[in-house]
Amino acid sequence: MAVQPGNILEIDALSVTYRVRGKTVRAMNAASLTVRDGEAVGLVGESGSGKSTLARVSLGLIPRKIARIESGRILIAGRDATRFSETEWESLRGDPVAMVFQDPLTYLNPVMRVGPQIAESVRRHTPELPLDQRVEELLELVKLPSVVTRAYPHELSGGMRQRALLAVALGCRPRLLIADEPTTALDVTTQAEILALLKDLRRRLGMAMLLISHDLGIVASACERIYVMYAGHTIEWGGAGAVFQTPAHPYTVGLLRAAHAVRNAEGRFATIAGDPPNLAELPPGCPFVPRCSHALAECSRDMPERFDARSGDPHSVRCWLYEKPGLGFDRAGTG
Amino acid sequence: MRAYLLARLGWAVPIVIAILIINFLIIHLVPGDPIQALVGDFPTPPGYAEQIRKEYGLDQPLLTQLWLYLVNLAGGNLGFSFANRQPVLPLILDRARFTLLLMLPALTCAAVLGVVLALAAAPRAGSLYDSSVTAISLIGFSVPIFWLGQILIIAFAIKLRWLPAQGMISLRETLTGWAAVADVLWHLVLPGFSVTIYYIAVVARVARASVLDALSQDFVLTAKAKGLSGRYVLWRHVLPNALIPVATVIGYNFGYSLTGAILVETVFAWPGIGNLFIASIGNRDYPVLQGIFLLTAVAVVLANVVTDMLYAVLDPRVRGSYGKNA
Repeated sequence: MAVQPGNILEIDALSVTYRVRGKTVRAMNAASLTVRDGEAVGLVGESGSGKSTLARVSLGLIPRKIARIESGRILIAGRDATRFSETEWESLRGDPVAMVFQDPLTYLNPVMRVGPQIAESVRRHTPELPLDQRVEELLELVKLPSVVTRAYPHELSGGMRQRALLAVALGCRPRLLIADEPTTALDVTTQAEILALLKDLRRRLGMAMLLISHDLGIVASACERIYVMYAGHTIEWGGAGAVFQTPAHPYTVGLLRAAHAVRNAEGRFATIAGDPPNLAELPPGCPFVPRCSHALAECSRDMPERFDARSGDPHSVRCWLYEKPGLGFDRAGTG
Repeated sequence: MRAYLLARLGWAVPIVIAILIINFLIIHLVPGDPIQALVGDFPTPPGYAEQIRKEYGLDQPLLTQLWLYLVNLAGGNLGFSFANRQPVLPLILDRARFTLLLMLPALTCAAVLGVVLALAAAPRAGSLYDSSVTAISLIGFSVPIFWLGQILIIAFAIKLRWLPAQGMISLRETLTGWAAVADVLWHLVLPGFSVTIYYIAVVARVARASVLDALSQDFVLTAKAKGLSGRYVLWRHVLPNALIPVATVIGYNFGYSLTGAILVETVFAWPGIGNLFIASIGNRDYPVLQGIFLLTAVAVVLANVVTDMLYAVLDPRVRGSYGKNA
């Protein structure tokens, strides 16, 4: 695949394994994902689907001792960073790619005031700007009062901490902001505030965003394109509307039904039957086979490269059901 | 901050009093008669021993003796040393200086070197360098200090004749000014080294574990995600968070350092508190022993208070627990 201009992040068939207690866990299996400059992309999937690994590998933050990139490539602003050393990664972190994390309390240094933690980003990436003024600007940007500079993380509320963490990331002036479950640790009203702030900032600063969440609603409301991950594979991707309204992969269909709290014939909430796969013992083929009521013979053999999901939009799915024209299954009624 | 300090000091007072009473009682349970030790095994006129016993108030009931002791303490009188024929307080304070001269530099060096070793080792956990630091600190921790001291004396004082074997000053010459200072430092090298080795091992073990723990914390990822270098993250983010357990160990050992030097002071004939302590046990010199116990107890309690203060300096969450304006 040729390097395309305008792609800030390009993950190309990337496989990552962890060695844990003698076992090899496949966290990412030939997963691909592209974020263009200025674009908001969502990544959804359940716990253990490889979302966070994808986020971290994009900043070279996977633990080198146990993690290994088996195959595939990571391109950041056109540079192949797949085999980068720790020092080379340092030149990419913050600018062009910055990151905010899930739990804003543990991701801020507890013994350092908030101001200096933001100032570190400024000094590292824009040393030419007046430091205090720039910190003030950043706080204003995330709608925090300037007294917060002198506060310690434990003195702030969860929402304020997430804003502070956001200011730390924005202080780097990133072209791409990766937000890994940025609202999961917050209560519902604060979630909405942070989400609105993220959308607003992205528009004002013109940066690209990769929003990672297990919550389809959050991703659908903030992103233009969506990727769905399952067991380390990117199984479906396309425009937010297309994926949300006409989900193609049986897993996505089930996920949406569960998220909408649809009751089935017995009046129970819809769930996806079975358990998530054991990543240490993945069978060949599609990892969803054991839970899929539409599985074909070829599904257990290998995973298709990609098929058009035929929703009328650019929308792709890695599922054999879409190989032949004419759908073999009813999108609305499966689970 | 002030409320925190007062609360800590408030707790220290009853602890010191309790230690005092317990020590007073324990020492009277030890077999042996101080009058016997003072008079010696010579035949004495009848009533002589009784007269001395009366002179020192040792014929009084135990509770009266305790009461007298406490009253005297309140007036700064720690009693009179039978063996040394001088008041206990100046005697102890005089010897404490020499112990501090030995222990303070040793503990300071050990704290700094132990932490630096740990900072270098922990990020490369499992490497050859890290394993060597772990192995060496295990050895330093396990080797008996008196054995190490004697090996050092044999090697550097007897075989190589580079350094003096014992004492704090050269007895054969009268030195003044800088020459005297240099002479003391010269005598300090071997005992200081023995103590430092042990404490480096103690500090390095704890520091390595707490640096490793801090390295695995989430905020390290945030710091790295800003594009900060590994070395900067280690010194600016990891170290301040790793120092709290280290402060505990250093504070704890500092409190005990006054008597902790007993072995080294005996091996090197260093005229500190430890040396006085051993001599006083031999002489059944109760007032001196009680004085040393008291000094140690106060030192341990004060070291704890200082350690608690240090927590508050190192960790804003500790400060916060005593109210915003504290």
